[in-house]
Amino acid sequence: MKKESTFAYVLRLTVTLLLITAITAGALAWINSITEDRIAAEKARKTAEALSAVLPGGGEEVDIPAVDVGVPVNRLYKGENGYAVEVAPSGFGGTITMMVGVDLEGNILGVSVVSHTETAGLGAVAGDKTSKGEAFRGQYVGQSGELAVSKDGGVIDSISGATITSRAVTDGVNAALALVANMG
Amino acid sequence: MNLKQQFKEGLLTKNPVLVQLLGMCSTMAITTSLFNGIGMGLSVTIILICSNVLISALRKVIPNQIRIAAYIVIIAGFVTIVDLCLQAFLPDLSESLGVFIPLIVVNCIILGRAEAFASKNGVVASALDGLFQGIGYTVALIIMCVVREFLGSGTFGGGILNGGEGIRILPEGVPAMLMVMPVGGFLTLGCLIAGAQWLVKYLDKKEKAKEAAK
Amino acid sequence: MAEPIKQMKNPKYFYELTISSSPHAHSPVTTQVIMRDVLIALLPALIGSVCFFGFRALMVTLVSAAACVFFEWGYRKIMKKDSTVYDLSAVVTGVLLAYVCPVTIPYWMIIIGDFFAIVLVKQLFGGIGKNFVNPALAARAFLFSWPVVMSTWVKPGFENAAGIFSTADAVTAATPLAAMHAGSLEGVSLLELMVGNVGGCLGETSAVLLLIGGAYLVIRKVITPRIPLAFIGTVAVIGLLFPQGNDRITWMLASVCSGGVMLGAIFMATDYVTSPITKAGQIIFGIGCGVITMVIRYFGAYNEGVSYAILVMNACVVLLDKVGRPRKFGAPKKEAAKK
Repeated sequence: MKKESTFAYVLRLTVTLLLITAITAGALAWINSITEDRIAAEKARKTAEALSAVLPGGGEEVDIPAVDVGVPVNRLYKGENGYAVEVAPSGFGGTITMMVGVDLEGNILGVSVVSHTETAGLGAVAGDKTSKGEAFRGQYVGQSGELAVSKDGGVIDSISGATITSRAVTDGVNAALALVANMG
Repeated sequence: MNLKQQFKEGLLTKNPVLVQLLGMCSTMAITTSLFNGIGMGLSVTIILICSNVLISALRKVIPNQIRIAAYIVIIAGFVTIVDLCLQAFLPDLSESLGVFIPLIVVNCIILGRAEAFASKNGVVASALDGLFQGIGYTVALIIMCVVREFLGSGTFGGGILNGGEGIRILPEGVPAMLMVMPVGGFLTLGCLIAGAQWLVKYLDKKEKAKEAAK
Repeated sequence: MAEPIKQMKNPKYFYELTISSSPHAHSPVTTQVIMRDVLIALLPALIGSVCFFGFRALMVTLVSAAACVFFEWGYRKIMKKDSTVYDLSAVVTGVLLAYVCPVTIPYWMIIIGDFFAIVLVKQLFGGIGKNFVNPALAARAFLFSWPVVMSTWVKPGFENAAGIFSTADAVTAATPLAAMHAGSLEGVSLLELMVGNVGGCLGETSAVLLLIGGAYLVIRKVITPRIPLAFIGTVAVIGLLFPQGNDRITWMLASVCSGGVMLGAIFMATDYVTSPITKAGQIIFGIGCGVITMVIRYFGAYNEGVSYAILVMNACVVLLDKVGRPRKFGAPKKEAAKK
């Protein structure tokens, strides 16, 4: 084999890696162009689903008023019958992203959990589609004012073994109520 | 390389999870329901076959000094493709596997096979190696999933059967929740590795006895 | 002492050789004698428990001990190893596991716990003397698979007691620890707390009865008081310095007498296998247990931390055994210090 000069050698390394990277990037761009629309549609469908679960008829996204309600507010939707607020209280295992629907009188229309990282079998019940989870979230419907779990003297029965998660969900609901009350 | 030998190595004697102990992170994290196990196993198998084939085809072109960088770029490319496809076509699976799909990039099985096998063998052999190692990984994951799901949630086939809830075998309140948490992953894997070792030794003994009889 | 070499294959020529350097002193203290003493020391707490929680407490303890012995015997039998049932260590594990569970625990659940303790924690690592964490506590941690069961407490008193076969009519109540976790000790007097007439795990409630058992163990020289004193002392000091409610002295006494501190410090942290050998190591071990217990109680979501504290410190024993090792006879001081 002929001895390669240093320059040619470095050039060969560079060009090979460049080519591999360029081809990979090209392939990715192509795949992305195919899947992009579907992924966006899928995300929109999910949000719409969560929205319509708590706010019948859906709604338009509006600007969030600059009020401190103690819990991060991600999004705010305004519909015909009321508002839907996406709040993100801190639970036991991390942030719980949840959607809370509130009507114009300040009563809760519904609560749904978009994503969470709570303990499986305990806190995760808050987001479950099981009867236990439905029962827990159902308690909030129709409530108004300042809510608390039964351990803190409130009306909400916490999920057994998951007081912290229950408190977090209640905090999120309270924040949503406070925000909507502020909107008038 | 003979086919039977390769198959046996992938499935048992050089099983990526049970013997080589590669890819532990995903093995611990996602093996909580059958759906996850099958999805993760198939994703890894597809990526493994693709990357093995490509790396094997390019093995004479890629200079030794930059091989790791080149392998990682190729692997990352395939992983991203699979990730995007899952998000687009199987959103439920994509959500439940979460961050572990992108993390396949750093799954040692893929780079390990690229370095140990694909960079030294022909395209066909590498493809078969990818397939068999992938099957070995998938089988190990599925066993873990079935055991953990049964003991931890009391169901079978979570995510696929019975509308996603799985078929309930143990009544509510009986399953040990800890089994679907990381602790259960370690416990199950430990027992599974012990079982695999026993099986390897047992088969070995049998083969030797056969040879001696001859 | 070196392991005796046994040749059991042909019982006709059975003999036992012990190979070790002199002195060949014989001691009547065997594992069996030690474990028997531990069981005797645990007896007052069991009697107390029956008085507070009814006969189910006795049944749970008996079932647990029997299951442990069965699993120990079964595993050794299946693996074709010598039976170690007669050293009574399995009985102690069973009783201790029962002591750290609520009296309302279903029998099948405690049997699963016994299986976990004996087979997974003890035997898979090689049997008695080889486990790296306390089997009973590891099993308790595993039993938190059923968190609702493991944090349901019956009110003490015969009229509230759970039936032997059914736990349906048991009256539940919050424990003093839960009250302390929420802010301050309420509804229970310090005297009740010391006697043990309060809610809690089966065998952990009575500080006085556990102390009697501890005193017996110290007198019989089964344990040295080093680890218990360091453990309880640390809990007391932290309770005194950083009270969360009540006045300082009440809070300190309540911290020491509530939950599993006494049971853990006297019977579990002193387990030979999973505690350090050196004096300095033992003291650090006890202090570590105390600190972790209080950190979990103050900052954790769960109100009791004794079991996890001991488990964490169990895992540190390998390192603690290196602390305070005596100088080799005749070795120069400098070299010993270097090592």
